[in-house]
Amino acid sequence: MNVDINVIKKCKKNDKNAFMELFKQYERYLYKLCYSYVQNEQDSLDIMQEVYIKIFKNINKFDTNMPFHPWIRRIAVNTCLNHKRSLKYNTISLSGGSDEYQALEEQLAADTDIEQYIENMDLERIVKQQLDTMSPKHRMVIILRYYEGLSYDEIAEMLELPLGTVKTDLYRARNALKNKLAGIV
Amino acid sequence: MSCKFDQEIIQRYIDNDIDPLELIFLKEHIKYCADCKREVELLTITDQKLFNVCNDIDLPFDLDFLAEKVMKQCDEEKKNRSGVSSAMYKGAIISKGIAISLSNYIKFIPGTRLISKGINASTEFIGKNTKTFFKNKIEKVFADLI
Repeated sequence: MNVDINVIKKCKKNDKNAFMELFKQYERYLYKLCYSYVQNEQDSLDIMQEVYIKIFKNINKFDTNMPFHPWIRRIAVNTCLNHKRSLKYNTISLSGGSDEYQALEEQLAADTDIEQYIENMDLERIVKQQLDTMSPKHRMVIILRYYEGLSYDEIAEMLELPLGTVKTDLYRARNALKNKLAGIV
Repeated sequence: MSCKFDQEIIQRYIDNDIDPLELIFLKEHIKYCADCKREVELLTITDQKLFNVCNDIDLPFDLDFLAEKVMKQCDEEKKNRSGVSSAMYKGAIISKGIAISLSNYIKFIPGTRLISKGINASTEFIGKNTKTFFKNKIEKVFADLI
């Protein structure tokens, strides 16, 4: 994601419109990163709010000679890792929320392969449940790999972990998930 | 799974980070090993599902309101802080004024000048003698060395 350097310079001068422009450019990226990590909307928005505030307070520390995306990513990752999840939002519906039933009705109406659809829903639900049980750092390794597309070296550097640990964590997480999915597929 | 095949090769295959030779080796192996073939299939599905969960995310409709809310909050915080720092700044100026007045006042208290002269004279005396003492010591040390 390329940010106009002039927008950042204006942000450093406390230009509100520049901040709004910057946040607008990054809102989707940040929301998806946070949501991947916490898997619920409310916590994602809470984390995003913290990230925005940190950007506002620390923009003057950003060196405009460096790329902006890694800087904002680091803020978002650290905020996610430090975030204490609110239990009341931390539920993954086992029977399917109303949105899923509505989607199912639409699917029925569309006369597509229902079995395949339900299987996909179940698989994704299991993946989300499994992500939920992981430690914050393991979860973040998954997010940085699958959402950000970072290499193992980049993940190791960002999370200050040895490269071997990152690989092992990801392999173990994948294996654990694979074993859960094996019963369905 | 009873097969002793190196599972890390399968993981590297999933990561698209496998050597060409290892790929040939893996493809040959799964022709005959049903367990490893199943491992590859399951890990491929797992990989796909992880990608979907991390990327197929619906955005809330009111996402742009969050930025406005935060900017408003930061604005208010800044105003409050500027009020506090302005008060502190004024307090510092007043304190400085008091300190200057006091120091000017002290000059007129009887005996102050005498005491100040005495302190200066003592300090000068001690300083001179200390300097001479150490100079002599150092000269002696060098003389002994030579």
